[in-house]
Parts: sequence; C-alpha cells; structure tokens
Amino acid sequence: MMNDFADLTLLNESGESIEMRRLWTRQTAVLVFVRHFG
Amino acid sequence: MFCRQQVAELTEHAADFDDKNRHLAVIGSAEPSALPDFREKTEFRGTLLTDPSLRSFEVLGFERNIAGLVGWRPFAGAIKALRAGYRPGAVRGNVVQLGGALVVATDGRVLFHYRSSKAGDHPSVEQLLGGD
Repeated sequence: MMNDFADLTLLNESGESIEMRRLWTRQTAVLVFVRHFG
Repeated sequence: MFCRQQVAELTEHAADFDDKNRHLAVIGSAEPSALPDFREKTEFRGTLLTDPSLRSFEVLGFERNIAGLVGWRPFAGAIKALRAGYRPGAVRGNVVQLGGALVVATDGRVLFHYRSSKAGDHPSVEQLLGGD
C-alpha cells in the first residue's frame, strides 16, 4: 500500500509540484495530514 | 476548527521540532489558493502543502467517510475546541477526508504512521517527536 508514497507529489502555495521524498532528504520529516483548511 | 486547533498546537511546539532536527510539514486537501489564508490564520511558519487529488491520503490509508464525522468523540472535541476559542471557519478541502501523520527518516524508513479514526483524532506532539 505505502510502497509508492515517496513518489507522490504535493502542491505548494504557488501551485508547484513537490515530490514527497524531497521532504525527508536532509532531516527526518514529520508530515501531518489535516482534514481540511477550515 | 479541529484542524486550526491542531496546527496551532504544532506552531506552539515548532521549536521542539527544530531541536529534534525534524522537518515539520502540514498537508491539506484544498486548492493551493487556500494555503496563504490558512497560514495567516494559524500563524504556522513551517512547510505547508496540499494534495487536492487526495492521492497521498489514499495511498497512506487515511479514511474518507461520513462516519468519521459523527459520534460522541467529534462532538466532545468540537465543544473543547469552541471552549478554547476556536470557531468554525470556511472549510477548504474535502470535508469527509480524515487525516493522519507520517514520520519518515532520511533513508525513507517510516518511523511512525497514524491514521485518524474520527474528526479531531490526531497524534500528540509527543508521538510526533518520538519514533527514533
């Protein structure tokens, strides 16, 4: 199920794609997924 | 409401994440245009990203159903959030999508994986800082 998560892309505030693996390149990453921005 | 409360708590502990050399990122499901407003409201200074496709939520096994929004626990959480001064705002993102958390080491090992079971159910800061 989770094998491919590193290849997934997210969007930043400018709408640019960020590959998830970039988030833990230099530091351990703590990724908090929220329900919504409300 | 819960989300702003959760992110406010993370913002309060931002220095703890820095001290443990952890890159904190908050990820939602709205369009990117919602991010600046959310950042302003929460005063969160870390990495803020979004996945409107919900693909990452799906791959990581986060629940998406109406059952996660009903019941005593979400109700009690809403009361607690209201008492703490958090008021419901305009929802930006998928309202039935539940969240969770993932801690990933630099070599790609997953150190911690949390799937929320209800609205308002999220891991503690201590859990997010642990997992070494």
